[in-house]
Amino acid sequence: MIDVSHLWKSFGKKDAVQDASFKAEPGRIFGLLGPNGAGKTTTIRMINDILTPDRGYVHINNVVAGPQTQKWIGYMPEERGLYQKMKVGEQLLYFAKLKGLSTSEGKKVILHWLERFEASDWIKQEVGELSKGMSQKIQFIATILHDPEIAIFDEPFSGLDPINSELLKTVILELKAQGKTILFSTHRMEQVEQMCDDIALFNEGQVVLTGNLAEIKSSFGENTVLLEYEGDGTFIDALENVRINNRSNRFAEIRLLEGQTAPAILKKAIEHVEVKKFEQVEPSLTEIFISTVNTTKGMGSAA
Amino acid sequence: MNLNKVGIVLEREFFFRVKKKMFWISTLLVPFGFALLIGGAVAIQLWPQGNEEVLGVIDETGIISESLVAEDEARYRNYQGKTIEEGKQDVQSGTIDGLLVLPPSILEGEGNAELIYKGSGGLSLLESVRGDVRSVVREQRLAQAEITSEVRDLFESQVGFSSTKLTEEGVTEEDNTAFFSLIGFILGLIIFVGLTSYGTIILKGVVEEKTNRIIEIIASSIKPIELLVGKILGISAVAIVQFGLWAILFTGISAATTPIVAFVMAQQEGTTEQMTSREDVVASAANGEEVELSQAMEAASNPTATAELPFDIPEIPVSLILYFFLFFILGYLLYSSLFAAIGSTTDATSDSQQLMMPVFIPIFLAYMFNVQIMQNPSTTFAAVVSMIPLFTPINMITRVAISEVPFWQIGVSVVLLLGSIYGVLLMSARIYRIGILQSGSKVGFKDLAKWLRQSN
Repeated sequence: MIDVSHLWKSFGKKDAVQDASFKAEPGRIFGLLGPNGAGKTTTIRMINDILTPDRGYVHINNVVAGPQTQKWIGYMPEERGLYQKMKVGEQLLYFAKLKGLSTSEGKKVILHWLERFEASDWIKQEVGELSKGMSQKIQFIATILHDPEIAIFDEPFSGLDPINSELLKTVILELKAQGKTILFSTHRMEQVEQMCDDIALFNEGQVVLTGNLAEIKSSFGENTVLLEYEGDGTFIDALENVRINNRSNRFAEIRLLEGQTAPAILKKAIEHVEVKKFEQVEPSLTEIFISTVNTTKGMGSAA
Repeated sequence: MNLNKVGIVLEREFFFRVKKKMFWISTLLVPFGFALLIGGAVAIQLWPQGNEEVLGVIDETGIISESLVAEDEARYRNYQGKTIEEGKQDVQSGTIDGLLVLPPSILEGEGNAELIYKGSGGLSLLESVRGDVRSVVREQRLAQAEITSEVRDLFESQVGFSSTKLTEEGVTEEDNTAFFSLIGFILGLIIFVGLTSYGTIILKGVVEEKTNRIIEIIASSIKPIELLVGKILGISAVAIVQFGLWAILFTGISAATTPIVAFVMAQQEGTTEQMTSREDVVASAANGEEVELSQAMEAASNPTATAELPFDIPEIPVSLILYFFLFFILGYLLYSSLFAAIGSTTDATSDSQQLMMPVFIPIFLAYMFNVQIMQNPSTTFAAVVSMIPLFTPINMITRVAISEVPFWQIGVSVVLLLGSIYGVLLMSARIYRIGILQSGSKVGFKDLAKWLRQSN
């Protein structure tokens, strides 16, 4: 379990994280969401005891973050890399030992994971000789080879090829099934909506919203319309009291604001285009983020 | 600090480098390269010089050509009775390389000896011909002036000069100041090269971890200070192994080559004495006897035979070698933490130039001081400079090699050095732990000052 409580961190005059609190529970996937520069990575570094909080605390399984808790965590940073001139096997063993495994334990788990990822042949190769996709797999192994109770991934899907993205998803879901605590951060909310059980939305260093994702969504109600159509969609731009979040030339995600209703939009749509699909749903994470940020800024719904 | 984790880092830094082929290639090649260099220098010195050109001598005085030919029979050929024109033709046709014409006035100290040649042979030919002509002419003129042989002996006599060193124990020993000045300077130079090259290795290692983004994974496993100390110690272990191997190889190579050099030099001297026993072969080779190479080698391979060079190499005291390692390691520890701190502030080795300057300056200064210290190792200047921690590694070893440095001075310098290592390490660690996580923005001295105060 990760318990972050009233965490503060500033660099010079800039408050990177302000009073952040949230809890990530075992057997669940926790998403740290928000735009770049919102304080996600700084928070993750404090959870990993790479940075020390100015105020507040991080508890890992009820222990204050420190050298001891580092052993319980597997961490894949956003900026990831390996020693280019070191052999795959030696490199993984080095990381395993830094996490407290003995040489023999380390060798055993490395063989297991390399086999699992069909990478046993690379053990004697230098990382610099591997393709990008291959070294990404080595990176996963380095993160979880010491069987951590807690797995943290910072922007895990950025830069991954589709095959490795799927592989990583599988691994994360497996870890969840094993009852591990999983936390990952991303700024691409739509990509991870299906995976997260709980979330914390970060904006400008603050947690603007946190809790169970399903509950959060239902609390917003079915205030969004998904419209699929064929024809000239320019009428959508003329709609009043709406926010268009996701738009292509055959699709639009329309958030209904004060004074706008779903039937009214359907009526307009039928007048202008051939409607293929019309559905009233809960808002997307992107929409939740935008409306939450706007509310906390006190700017109302007319942004 | 968790020593176990320091050990894991140390182990990686050490074995990663020692396992590389380049490490062994450079470790083995340097001594052989050095031996080749020295061998080459000796060979050039010993190469038979100036005996290849044949000169015809037309002696118009008629009395000195014989003694000139006697100076070097292979070179000078008596051309008495031939005209200058005939001599020139022989030069043209290549029968002889040059024609030396000695006018009668030369014995009055007025005329010039003239060498007519095609221009091959260069300066050394001109030098040796001039020397030969001068000595023959001088002999002849001295003889004509009826100077007695006693007066001549006076002219040729030389003044002997030797110096003896009085040690603190009151024992007088042969003074080898010239030799130890050289050794002292070389040891300082080796430390100079060692500090800069191993320092650069540290810097590159730190920059690699930053640019390859490995650092964050490591930082999520151990403390920056553990990484820093492990890295510094690991690379110092590499340095010790490398220098140890060099010491062994140098000793081996010089032991193997000494009899050969001695033999070659003996060939050059060439006197005639009888050899009696096998041991004498090498000994007499040293004294300048003509012996067969095979015999010399055989004698050299006999462990009881002591091979000696025709000149005397004073023994290098063990204490000097120990001091060398002490100052080298301490100097390395001091400078490597500075280099590591600098490396942590940059993303690319090229960016670090500006910040590296202040670290290189004291190393270069110490090197320049050494030129002075080598000549005057006991001045107040030398004493003060060699006790300043940044200069101690290079300057103190030179002083220790050349002169009797009071023990308190060595003690003070070592204590100051240890204190600075501790201080610099703490300071560097503060910069390092923040620097390694920075990326993108360029770091200046102002930032460093800020980081020193900033908490993690």
